[in-house]
Amino acid sequence: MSRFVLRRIGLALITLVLLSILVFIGTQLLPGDVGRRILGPFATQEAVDALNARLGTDRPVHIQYWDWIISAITGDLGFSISFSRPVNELLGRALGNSLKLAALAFVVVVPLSLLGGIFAALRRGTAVDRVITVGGLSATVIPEFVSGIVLIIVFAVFLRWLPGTAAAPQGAGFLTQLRHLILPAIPLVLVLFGYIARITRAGVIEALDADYTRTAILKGLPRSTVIRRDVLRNALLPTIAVVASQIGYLIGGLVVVEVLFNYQGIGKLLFDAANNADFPLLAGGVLVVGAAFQVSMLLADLAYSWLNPRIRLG
Amino acid sequence: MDKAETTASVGKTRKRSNPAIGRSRFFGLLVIVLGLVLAACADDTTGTTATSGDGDEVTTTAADGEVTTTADGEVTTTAADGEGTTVRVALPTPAVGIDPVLINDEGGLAAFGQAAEYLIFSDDELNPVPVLAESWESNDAGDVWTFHLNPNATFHDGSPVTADDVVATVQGIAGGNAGPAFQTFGVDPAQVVAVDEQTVEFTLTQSSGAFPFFMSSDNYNAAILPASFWEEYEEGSYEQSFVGSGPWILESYDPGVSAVYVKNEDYWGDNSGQPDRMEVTFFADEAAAVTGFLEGRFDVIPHISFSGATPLLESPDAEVSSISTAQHRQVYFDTTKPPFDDKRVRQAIALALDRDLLVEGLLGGFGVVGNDHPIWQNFPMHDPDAVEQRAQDLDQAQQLLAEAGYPDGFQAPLDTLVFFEVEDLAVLIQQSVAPLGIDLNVGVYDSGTYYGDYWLAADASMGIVNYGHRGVPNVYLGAPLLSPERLGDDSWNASHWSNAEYDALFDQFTSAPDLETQTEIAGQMQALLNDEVPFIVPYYVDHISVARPGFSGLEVTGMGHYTVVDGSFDD
Repeated sequence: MSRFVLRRIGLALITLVLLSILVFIGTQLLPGDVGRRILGPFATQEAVDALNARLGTDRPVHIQYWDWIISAITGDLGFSISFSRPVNELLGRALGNSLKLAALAFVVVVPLSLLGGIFAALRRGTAVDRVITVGGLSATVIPEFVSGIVLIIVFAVFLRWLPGTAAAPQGAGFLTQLRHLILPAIPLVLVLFGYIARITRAGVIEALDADYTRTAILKGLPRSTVIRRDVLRNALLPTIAVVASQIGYLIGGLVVVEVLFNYQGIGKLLFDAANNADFPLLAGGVLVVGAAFQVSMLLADLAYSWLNPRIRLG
Repeated sequence: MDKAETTASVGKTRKRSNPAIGRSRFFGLLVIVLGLVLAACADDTTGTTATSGDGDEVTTTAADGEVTTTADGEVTTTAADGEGTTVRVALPTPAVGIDPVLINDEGGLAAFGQAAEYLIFSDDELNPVPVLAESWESNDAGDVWTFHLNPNATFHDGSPVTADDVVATVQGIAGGNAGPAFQTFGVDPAQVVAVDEQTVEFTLTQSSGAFPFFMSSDNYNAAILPASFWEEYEEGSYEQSFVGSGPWILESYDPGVSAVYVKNEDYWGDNSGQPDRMEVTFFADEAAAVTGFLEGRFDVIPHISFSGATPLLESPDAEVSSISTAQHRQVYFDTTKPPFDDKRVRQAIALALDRDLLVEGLLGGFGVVGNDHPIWQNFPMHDPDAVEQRAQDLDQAQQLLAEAGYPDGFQAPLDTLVFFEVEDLAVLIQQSVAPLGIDLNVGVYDSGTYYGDYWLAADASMGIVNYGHRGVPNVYLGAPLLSPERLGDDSWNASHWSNAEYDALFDQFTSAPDLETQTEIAGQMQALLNDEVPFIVPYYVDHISVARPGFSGLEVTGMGHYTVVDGSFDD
């Protein structure tokens, strides 16, 4: 097992290095030079050249990359152009914010959709099943910006039950922060519920129809034991992978929701960075999101092996 | 066990399994989740009753001690005397840090201009209002300007604002965003000297009658900061303190998220009616600001586009107001290459536009039509009789095109940037000239790409660029219109237009001793530009702002500055 984990971490690091090269080249391919971006279209060329020399952005790309990646390895992702702050500080705070929103969405959607999927499978073909599957699928196809705007208009503007921004006042306590995160979490729950519930339902149905379930039942085991030990353990395997793969999305892919709810998470920070051609912030942010995806996939693999002893890792 | 028994057994077991993952547990969990949600909702009602030490809820207290407000999703109420008041403002996220050298956009200058002050404030009626400078004068030639500082003016730490601070500020910002404007106005930072503690003298490399505007809020980088700040300046250092002499002192700043200011109790000027607190929230998306306003989270949006303001126009919870500004779009042509090297072609395209329709359709009426020169009708030197307003005339346009040798039209690119309504303007121009047989290929780019690769690189093409408001037209008349070879790297002449007669008029204009002479020259420039059409000015854009009904005291400028120092709520 430990060999497997080490190998996975090694692979993850290689992936991150490749990602960093792609990101760095990508940001270099963006039009306009860094000094011009910072000083604006009306600055003199002399001032732009001087700034580029000071920032080192007039050097060959591979040298810039080498400096950047060496700094990144030592934990320094550079200095944000648009915020005049260290990238680490900005990403650290944004990551904290994104994790809060992701955690709330996760805590709500995972049990809800698992139970929904299992319930639908056990009630296969009934009205309840159809409501869960069709309703879930319908909710999944609603883009986050549509459900988000509807939620803001109904619950924030008209009813004024909940704030339409995810950003709580500075120093706000846990419950206030939670209250601000409820509306932004709902579009994420809507998007993920149908997806996870359907995968769960399919897995449970397959397990219910499997020979081992029939054998277990024929052995005379109580139904609840069969469901818990045989059906769910097998049925949840694909679901675990799906759920884990969504963690990366929940942390780094919420650009629309974070912009709509004016929330300074990783997604909005990347959006701002791209808008302002803030190369160090953009590159650092993508690297952090990439790392989040890697960690979530590793967790998925570990959970998978724990649930399925047939897979001997390492 | 036979088949029938097996089936019965499975059926029976299935029924028994229901309590395991059954309806009751499913709904039980659902209740727990909903309970959590409701508990969070209920939190608000407890938080509004008192100011909690941990800042869990932000509350403001009226002068008489009555707790009246939560800033958390509720409409602010205030004491009648204006004390204990919090004003909540929505601003666009600054493109760069709040840094006097670097700020180059509205979010940045608006946040910067709260704690820091200029020598002169250029107000919305184009008056130079004395602030840190109480008076100023020039020599007869207009190339040496002397500013006398207000002896009462002090920075936040109580130290006086001196001539040394002005000199340090000018030298500190010269290498940044303000650099090209220094060139336009002939400022040599080495020739700015402190005559005595309260007097500072600028010796310019050229005469300039409008120079005070250059040291006003129009040059938004030029807020006066202490010499001690400049000694230790490095990129990002301003955000640590927001030092300045202004009526607001920074309490907290969260980059890209918010800035909170409190009243400067020791302000050197009169701020008796000033609210106690101002909370600025930055937004990346205008729609987020509008929904926040409708929700009651903001009292003021100092600047909003027409499309952003549309949902608020009919709302009883919003008062939309506007001021006329000199901000305009220039639709330029590469005047050095066919087909645009023939002024008849340029005139024909200018004649194809229905300007009233553009103002109505693109700006909702929040603007006025332009006449293909940048001397806005509210500038005091504008000559209303110089040239007739150009109006749509397709027949004449067709005739001009035929005379120029393009009776069946031509194809050309039209490149522009994503900026407010500008891309829609590009499409409407494309449609307007289509009846003439002109086929424009519209390209829309982000601002970095546009300014980097297209703006000054127009090649047998057209383009659209934006010019923000200025208190005097010097910048509009200089960099985009003077012969490119005259300004070199500092030229913004996208049309590559070169005209010796115009260059001579410009020199006369900038050194004109009085308004009468200046108006006479301005009239000649208006006529020349309208005839030559190096660029079309289809309209000037109003500055729209929104405030909560009952809130008064919001003042804005076309440049994007705002103040709520005299802000108060009726209720």
